[in-house]
Amino acid sequence: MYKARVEAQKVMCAGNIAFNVIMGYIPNVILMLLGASLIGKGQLSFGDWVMFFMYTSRMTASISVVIFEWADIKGTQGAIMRVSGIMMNPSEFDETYPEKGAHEGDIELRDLQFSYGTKEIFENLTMTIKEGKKTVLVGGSGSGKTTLLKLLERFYDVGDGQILFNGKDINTYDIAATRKAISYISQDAPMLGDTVREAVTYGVGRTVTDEEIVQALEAASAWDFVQKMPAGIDSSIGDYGCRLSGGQRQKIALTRGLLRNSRYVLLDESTSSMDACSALNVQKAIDNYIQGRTCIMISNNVSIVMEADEVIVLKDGGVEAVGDHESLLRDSATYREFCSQGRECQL
Amino acid sequence: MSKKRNKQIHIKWGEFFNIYKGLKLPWLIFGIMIFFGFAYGWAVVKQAGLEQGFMSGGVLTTDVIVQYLIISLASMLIMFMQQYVRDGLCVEHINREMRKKLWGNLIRMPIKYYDKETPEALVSRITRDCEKANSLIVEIVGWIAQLATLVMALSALFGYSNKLLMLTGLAIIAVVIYGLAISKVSYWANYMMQTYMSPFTMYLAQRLKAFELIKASGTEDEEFERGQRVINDMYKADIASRIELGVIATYVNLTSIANTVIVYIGGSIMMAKGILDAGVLVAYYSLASTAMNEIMMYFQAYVNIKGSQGGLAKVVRIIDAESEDVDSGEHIDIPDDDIAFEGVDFAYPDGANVLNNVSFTIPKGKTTAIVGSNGEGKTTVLKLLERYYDPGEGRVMFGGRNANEFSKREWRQMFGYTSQDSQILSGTVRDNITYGLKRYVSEEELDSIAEKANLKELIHSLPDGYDTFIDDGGSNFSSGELQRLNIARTIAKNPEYMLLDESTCNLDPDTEIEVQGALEKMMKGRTIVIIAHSYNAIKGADNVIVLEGGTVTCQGTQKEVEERNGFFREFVDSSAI
Repeated sequence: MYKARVEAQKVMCAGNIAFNVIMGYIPNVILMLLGASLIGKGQLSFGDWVMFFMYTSRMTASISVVIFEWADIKGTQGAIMRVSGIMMNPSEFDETYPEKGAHEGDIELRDLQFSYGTKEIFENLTMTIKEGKKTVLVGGSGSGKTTLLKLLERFYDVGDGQILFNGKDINTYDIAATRKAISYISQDAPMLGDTVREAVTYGVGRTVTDEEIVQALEAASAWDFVQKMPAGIDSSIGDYGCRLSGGQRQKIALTRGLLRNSRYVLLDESTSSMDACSALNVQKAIDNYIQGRTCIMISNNVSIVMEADEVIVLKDGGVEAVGDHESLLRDSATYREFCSQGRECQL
Repeated sequence: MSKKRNKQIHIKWGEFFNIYKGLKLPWLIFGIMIFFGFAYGWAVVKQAGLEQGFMSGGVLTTDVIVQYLIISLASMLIMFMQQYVRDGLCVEHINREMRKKLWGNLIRMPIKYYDKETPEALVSRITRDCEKANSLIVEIVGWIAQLATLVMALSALFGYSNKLLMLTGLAIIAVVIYGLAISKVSYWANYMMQTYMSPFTMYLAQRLKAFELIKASGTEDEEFERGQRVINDMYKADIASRIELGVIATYVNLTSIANTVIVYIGGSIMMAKGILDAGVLVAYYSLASTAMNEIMMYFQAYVNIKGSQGGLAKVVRIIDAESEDVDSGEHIDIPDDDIAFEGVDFAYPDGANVLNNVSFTIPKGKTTAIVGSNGEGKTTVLKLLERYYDPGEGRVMFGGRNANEFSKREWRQMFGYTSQDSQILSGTVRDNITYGLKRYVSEEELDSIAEKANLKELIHSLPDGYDTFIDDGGSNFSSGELQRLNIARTIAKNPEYMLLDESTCNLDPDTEIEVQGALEKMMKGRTIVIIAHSYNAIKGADNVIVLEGGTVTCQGTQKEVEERNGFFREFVDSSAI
């Protein structure tokens, strides 16, 4: 870094200084000598010379300004290119969407194809997620579980095929309405805000009373530790919640999900960093909460998977099997393997 | 405004200079700068003398012209060299030395200093704040050099006209007063910048990191509004600094105009009365311009120094942080032994007590599991074992002696720590496995390490093998692979004590089995301390320590603890539904 800078600095610096010095000196020297000679010969009065001297110094100053402005303009071109790169990106909210109805009903995925660049995730995915039921997605790493949740959130456009809410293509709905209908708790439990209160009410979109917050914290087993914090729900959680442990972050993220109170709930490994006892309690709270809502979960915890209304096994870019715990134990080799490896399973 | 100013960071001059202690300063360049100060003063006086000669209607001989040209060229060159040495060589040299010193301090600070600031803030210490801090010493050397020029120009002025000198004296007083006023404006502008700049960048950095959350929460409109607010605040700060720039620019112009007006109006009146000749007037003007200019630059430098205080104060904090003394202390000459916590209390700098009077023993050669709810201080115990922090009260004992007696470097060499998140540095697979090893690792040894970490097959399937580059943050490897790379690094270190922190928590079952397999191979014959939140991971543990409410509620063999402790029974049960 130093070497590169010194080289650049040396050239720029030398150029600038040389320019300033020359502009400041040369006219003076010329005027002095010329003036002395003309005054000596009686061709110029001292007063005229002073005037000329003053004008010249103003003029050289103006010329310097013009030249530096020009250099400045040259320098901005790169920045303008980068800024216009962002300006040209489309906004998600530019389009108008014909479908005004609310999101409800089953979610259907039809012949879905999706890839990140050249890395294909789904080749041909068809499934139905039933309204009001708890569906769990199971599959090895890279089978596209998280990607599926992101597609429902419309973070990406599907390649081929369709996602349907109540028989209507997801792309015909207003994108903001889709996301409002969904609570998505992603695996890394992201959070914004300086305090517990700000983090749990982020994006809730309504005023929430203290009682409601405490209630939701209790439901997510978070009240125990929040209560012990120096300022209760107004305690600082640090940047991105960095003062919290992994399990605590997940509990806060869940609390936010509970307060959002939406029709569809997407949970990606929401209890993975919690100790076994907390995870169990939190799972009970989740089950309570999702009564009557549509819930799609990703979990590696067999005891959680067992309780699902429906389990969908993803494999090789498609659906390998669908069913409940018992039927899948019979029908799906992948699922049997999943259960036998699972740490919290007793068969 | 005065109230606001009080909030600014003020540091003592002693602290100012402390940061340069032990820094390799370019004394030669400083010397040259001061020499140039004298040289420039000499050239200006000489030039003025010649001007006086030929403007008084004296003869303009070739000899005089040549002399004048030479002296002008000389002062041009001196001016050029003076500025070039200062901005082109001196500033960058000190920046380099300061960055080296800051980096050295940063990397040797105890961990508690890292907890106080975000990585982004620490990055800006080395990049931005460091440069600001350095302007101080350069300005001070500049002062000395300018002082030489100023004194020479001023003393030459005495020889010409005392009446003009009085007028110039008045102008100098005006310049000084205006200069003081400007430093107030600068305080204000700097205060505005400090207040609004960092919330602005913080806001942007935070939001851009949590893009998915914003989209999923549908809060684009709210964030747009909030963004507008911080941008508006930033606008206020920018306007303040523009005003500052404008005031400084008028200062420069007014100084030169004041000088011209005083010298030429005063001078022409005196010339009309016949008490001053044109040559003296011209020479006087040259010298007075130089003197006024130097005084003005003094104030600009003063303003700069004031402005750099904020950055300086932050740098001082790092320079002053005691660096962790890893080498002092005794050589560890006793064989592996039990490690015992005796009445340990611990609190993080800004929080409540995490550990209260914690006592337990970690027997050598055994596997000890620490269980407890989230946030009960399990990870803290491991950090204390590594001596990242010192216990508040109580002691950590090793072989009957206080752990503090031993050198931290040797102490940490005994431990392998595999934490919740894989720590991967950018570089190749080989770099990551052998990181911290101070010896050559042969291809065969790498293979046997990779074999133990269940990585050999994977690495051999990669086109570049051990020289495969790991992208920033490890994005071209799966989380299980990164965990196993971490394990491989620990295996390569071959520590006597292994600390495992919820190592397999975020993995899917396939991956967990791979990692678990690697861990089991590694654990053989060592002393293990393990934290896990499911019973399966600690099934094989010999001893169990239960942490509840920051204190040990039970310890002993698995059987004993299961009989005596409710929490542990629940823990075992909940894992076996």
